Amino acid sequence: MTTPSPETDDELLMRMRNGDEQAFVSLYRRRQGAIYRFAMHMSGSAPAAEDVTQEVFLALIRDDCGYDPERGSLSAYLFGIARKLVLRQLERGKADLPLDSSSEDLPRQETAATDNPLVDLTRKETLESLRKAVQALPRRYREVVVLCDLEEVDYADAAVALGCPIGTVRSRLHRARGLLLEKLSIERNSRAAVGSWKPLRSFI
Amino acid sequence: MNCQEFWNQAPPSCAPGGEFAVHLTNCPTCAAAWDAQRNVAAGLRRMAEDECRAEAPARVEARLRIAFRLQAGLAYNPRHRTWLPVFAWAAATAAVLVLAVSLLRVHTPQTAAPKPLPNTAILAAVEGSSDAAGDSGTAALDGGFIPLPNVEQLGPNEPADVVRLEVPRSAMIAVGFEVNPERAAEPVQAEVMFGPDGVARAVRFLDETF
Repeated sequence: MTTPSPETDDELLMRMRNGDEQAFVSLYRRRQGAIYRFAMHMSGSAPAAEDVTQEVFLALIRDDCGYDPERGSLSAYLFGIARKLVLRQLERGKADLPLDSSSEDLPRQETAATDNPLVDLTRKETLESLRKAVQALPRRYREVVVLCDLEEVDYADAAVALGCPIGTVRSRLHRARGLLLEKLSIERNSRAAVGSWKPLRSFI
Repeated sequence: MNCQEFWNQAPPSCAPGGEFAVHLTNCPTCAAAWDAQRNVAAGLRRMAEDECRAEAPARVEARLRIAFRLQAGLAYNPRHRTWLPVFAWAAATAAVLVLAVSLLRVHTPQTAAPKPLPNTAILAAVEGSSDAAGDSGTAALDGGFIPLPNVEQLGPNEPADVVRLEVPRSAMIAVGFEVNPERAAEPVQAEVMFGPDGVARAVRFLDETF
């Protein structure tokens, strides 16, 4: 006995266009999590992510953004709308994060391959450090990390969502990972430095 | 393959083969950087696993379902398909009633007409607008709401939500208004009253030019 294959996004969209509410709900439930998390990582704000998720699917309901299956998948199209909405919110100053953090200007620190700050990533605090490092990335690097590494969107879809060539996605991703590594190394070194401080006796 | 070509074309996979593998064997700098990137990617995967349950709150789906129903046509419900003839008669009756009321009633200008809100704000009002329609039932009908055909009307003490949004002008036909076919596709501002079960019960159109 074969199990029926799940409907594709485009099939659900077609049914949705014909007024099938269940198709819309299926499509929403399939895609909302990734859109919400993308908006959350990009804006750093849960209410902003909620607004963005709602607006993305309202745009789909209204069909006023012109989805064209030949230009990319529905998922890429939805991420593209979410990205534009997040940028608008960031420009309005509604979300928590600045448009571009100045973290790229941090002093560079060479990291050797053996000096890996992610070795003990199972620890919750290290995951938290990584989360903070992602949020502190400049926007153009953050969006590519969130799409490709966190949401596992392929390079082609990421390129459609970001409106840039695949090569740019690839190079930004490598650069972003490098920046993350630098940030985590700096944090680990500063922790180590704090840990090595000796208490001073104060004389009052 | 030189280092630049390697990084410009490197595949997303953790274990690149072919030319890429050869380059990594011959270039210790790229091999070290590649290893470091793999570690970051692995950390990010763990972070993704940790967060994979983060989703939009359920209220977003509820709001979107309401928006979908309104976009697809007011009070659209497949269960009512067999009631189409009844619906047509009810719509015709509603049209006659509306015409009669509008002829009999002295036209009084609306005081403090609500200021149109953007769509998002309107949908966000779904939860919080009970107060506005909290008096429900009769008060709401006095406010110019037209009961929708084929749905139960709200009782005097039943809570209601009022949502303002844009619907196609053609939706006005469903409650008996005559609509200029040339303008049927235009959006029109409407306030829709929903019962506690999320079913639309009454509507009020804010645009008086049909």
